[in-house]
Parts: sequence; C-alpha cells; structure tokens
Amino acid sequence: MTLLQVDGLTRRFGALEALADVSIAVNEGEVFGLIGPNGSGKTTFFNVVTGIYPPSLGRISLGGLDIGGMPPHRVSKHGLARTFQNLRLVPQMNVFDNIWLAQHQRPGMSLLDILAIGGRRERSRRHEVDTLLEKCGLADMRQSLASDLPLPDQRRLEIARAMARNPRLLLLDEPAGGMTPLETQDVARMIREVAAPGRTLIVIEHKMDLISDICDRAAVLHFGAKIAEGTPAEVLSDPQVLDVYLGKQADHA
Amino acid sequence: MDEHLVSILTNIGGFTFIALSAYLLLLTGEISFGQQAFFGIGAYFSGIVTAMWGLSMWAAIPLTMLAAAFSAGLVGIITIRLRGLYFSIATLAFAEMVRLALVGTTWQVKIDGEMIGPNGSEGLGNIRWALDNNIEANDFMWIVLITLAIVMGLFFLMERSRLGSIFRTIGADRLLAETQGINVTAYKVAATALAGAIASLGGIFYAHAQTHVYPENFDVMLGVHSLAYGLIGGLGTALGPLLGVILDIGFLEAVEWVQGYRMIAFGGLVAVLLIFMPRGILDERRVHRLRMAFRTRKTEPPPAKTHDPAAS
Repeated sequence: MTLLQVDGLTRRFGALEALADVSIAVNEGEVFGLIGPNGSGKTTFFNVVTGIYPPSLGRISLGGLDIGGMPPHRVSKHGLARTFQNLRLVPQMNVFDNIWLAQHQRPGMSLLDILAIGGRRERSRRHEVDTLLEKCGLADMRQSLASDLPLPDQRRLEIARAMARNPRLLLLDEPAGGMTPLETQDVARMIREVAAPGRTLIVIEHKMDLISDICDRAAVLHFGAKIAEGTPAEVLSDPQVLDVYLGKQADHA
Repeated sequence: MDEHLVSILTNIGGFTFIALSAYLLLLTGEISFGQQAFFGIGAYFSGIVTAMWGLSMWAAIPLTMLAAAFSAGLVGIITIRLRGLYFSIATLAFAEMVRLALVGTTWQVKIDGEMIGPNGSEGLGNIRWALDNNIEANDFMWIVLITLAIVMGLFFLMERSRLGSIFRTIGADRLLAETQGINVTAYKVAATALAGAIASLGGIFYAHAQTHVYPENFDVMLGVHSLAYGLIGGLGTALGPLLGVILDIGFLEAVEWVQGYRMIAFGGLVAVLLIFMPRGILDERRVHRLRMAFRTRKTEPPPAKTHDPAAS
C-alpha cells in the first residue's frame, strides 16, 4: 500500500526550478533512497514534503490525506518526522531533553500534559525516551549537552529525536554525512535495526554502499527532475544515472 | 528594618517582575523593548481600580493582570509576522504610544472633594490603598517579596515542564520547533500575553508603594533595563533576571560610593558581559554544570558512565 504519494511536484524559486514535475510513490514499510548530485533538489523535496516550503504545483498525499501546503507543525502531527542535513539540535539542552522535546506536541498531548511535571503518563513517556536512548547507543551521554557530542553521536541523536515522534514516515537527510566508513556502517546498522522496523523511511544519501545496504528502492534526481527509479542495483546501473551522477567512477558501483 | 533597605528590597521585588517578563520573551528568542508598557498599564490600571473605583489591591491584581495579558496578547497578534529587529522596534513603538497616550489623557473624578484620576504628565496620584489600610512599608515589602517568591516558583515549575522546553526550543530554533509539531505562532502569542501579565505585577506594586506614578516612569530606559537584567543575570534559569536586578538595584543603586556612576557602571557591565558571557552569568551551560554537580553530590555513588561535559 502506498503511504506517500507525490504527483507532479514542482517547486520554483524565482526562475529556478528546484523540483520539476517529480512523481514518487513510497510504499508502507519500505526504505526508499533518494540520490542525486549536489543541488539536484533532494533537500528541497524534503522541505516541500514537510511543509517548510509550499509546493508551486503538484500534490502530496500522506496515507490518502492531502498535506501539500500545510504548515510544518501540522504536517508533523500527521505522522511525518525528519532529520536535517546540517543538524538542528538544541545545543544548550542535554541529550535527554533533545529527545524529550519531540514528544511535546505529539498527537494526543493535552494542555495538562504540557504543564505536568510528573505523573504516571509523564513517567512512562520519559521511560520511552530512555528506551530510545538505550536502543540508539546514546544512554551513556544522557546528561551531556548536545553541543558536546561528536558528530556521529549528534547524527544518531537527530534520528532518535525523529523516532520519538512515532512517525509513520521518517525522512533522513544524509544520516551518514561527514562520517568515516566505520561510522557509516554503525549508522547503517542503526537505521536497519532500530529506525526501519515497522516504519517507512526515505533516505537522502551520497554514499552508494549505504543506499545499496539499507534501501529497498531508490530514485535519482538530477536538476530537480527524476531520471530513474527502481531497486538500488537497477538505479545504480542505469546508463543515464552513470552518465550524470557517477561519471567515470561507474565501475565503483 | 532599616527604611532604606525596605525600599530597596521593595524595588528589587517590583523590578524583578518586569525583568522576568523580558526574560520569558528572551527564552522564546524575541527581544522586546516594550515591556515597560505593561508595567505602566499595570501601574495605571491598578491605580484606577483602587484610587478611583475604591476596590482593594487584591481585587486590582487579577483584574490588572488580565487587562495587561489581553493588551499584550493583542500586541503579540499584531506582531506575529515580525521577527528579530522588527519585533523589537514594534514593541518599542507600542510602549512609546502607551506612554504618550498617558501623557495626553486626563480623566478625573471628584472623590471626597479631591480630583482623582490620570492627569496627563502630572500622572496618577492618591493611590492610597496601602496608607488607608495601615499597611506599612515593611509589610508592603513582604507582600511584594512573597508574591515574587510565588511567581518565581511558578517559573521554576514552568521551566521543568514541557511548556518551558517548548519556549526554549522556539527560542533556539524556530524551524526545528515547527517540525516538532509546535505551533510557534500560538505559543509566541501566549508567551507575549503571559509576559505582559507578569510585567503588570511590577507596575501594580510600584504604583501602590509610590502612591503616585508618572508616564515618564515607563520610558524606554525601563525597558532597556528589564532586558539587560536577564542578559546580565543569565538566560539559563529564572534566577538570572533576579540576579541582574540585585546587581543593579541592590549594588549599583544602594551602595553609596557607586551611586553617581550607576549608569556608567551598568552600561560597562552590560558591554563586558555581552563580550565574555553573551547569555549572561547563569547561562544554560553553567546552570547545567551546577545541576550536574548538585546531582552527583546528592545521589551517591555518582552515575559511573556519565559523560563529563566539562571534559570536552
């Protein structure tokens, strides 16, 4: 069953067409890769889907609900969470509080829940944060300020925070950006074992081995247009993709 | 208690309210140069309620806070689309409008042969509730300080709740807050209204301690001071603005040998702190460290694997 259905999505910035008539359908439970050279419109795609920019043209529907043009806080309440390529943690909050904040406005939170400083339900939600910290290997840093963490841990913290919103669809923007091969393997394992089960994911990534490793299907963007779609193996052997994206390094894939 | 000390402590109490109101908005990332407007509205409105309508200050407090919250909420709604510098200028303009409106307003009624009510730049006098009820300066000081303790207590609770975290998240990164489902606009209007109500408390006590208030009491300098208190004391805890007020009024104004140089010393303090401690003395990092030190001492043995933030 299709969870995210994007039809003819176009986003213009002045004369620049950052997204040109992009149609993508992501199935429930699938890990979908989004690849393409720098400036090909991947992050713009995330920004439009999450409501940060309204679409210029086209439809976005999440589980049959039209979310195109909704403000980000409403899109988020309909079960969409994301991470950011350039990391948006609250640096002066500790690791626990950075995840805790994702629960504040989860569907079903009442004003009383917002004002409560204790109680059974609050305790169970705090326990949920600790479980998540444990699963993501961040439990040891529970009290550290987010700004004190090394980059790989900051990226994992972003993923953990997005998961704390219990999203139906999770968008990861370069989860292994700036990481060494070993750190990338760690993140791949975390995505496969912790983030993906029971969820639908869209992953933007430049590291092809990560895409082949975790994705069921992938699409390639180039100058805002979709030029290929299929399994990672199909996409990475597509002549057009090799031509525009991988260039002479084709044999590497 | 020494009369001078009583007046200083009463002042510290009164000004901490407006400092807390500016602090609340600083948490949400907005710099308001206009909190003096709600201090002024608090002073005038409560003065009218007690001096003209003859009600008690206890009735004036909730009425005035509601009126201030309402007007502040309105300002919040009008300035929804304004951010950063534009928000600061808009709030400054609003405060000046309120002050000039008070200068231009005369509305007096005869009570017991005396003309009572706002009289333009002559201000509003005869706010005699404390005198009429034989509340001495000492007792009034305790009223102010106990109310302050209650408000500070509520601030501490707020900061431990999700509401405080929502305000801080908005202040740290507005876009992030939105992607976490937070309706930033609604919470900002709420914060503005809440801040207005808190600032008005300061005005209520100021008016009833002084018995006479003038529009010039609520000029831009009051707004600048209320902002500076939070920025000096620190944005990591509600104790920050209190610390700022104590440093300014308790030290610079009260200690004789610095009195003539108060504004110079205050300005210098702000400048130095902005360079070396941009988020104040008790900023988030120091508060975090103090909390960690306190926690490890309380819970023996200390959590073995806790990462020491000071180490990195």
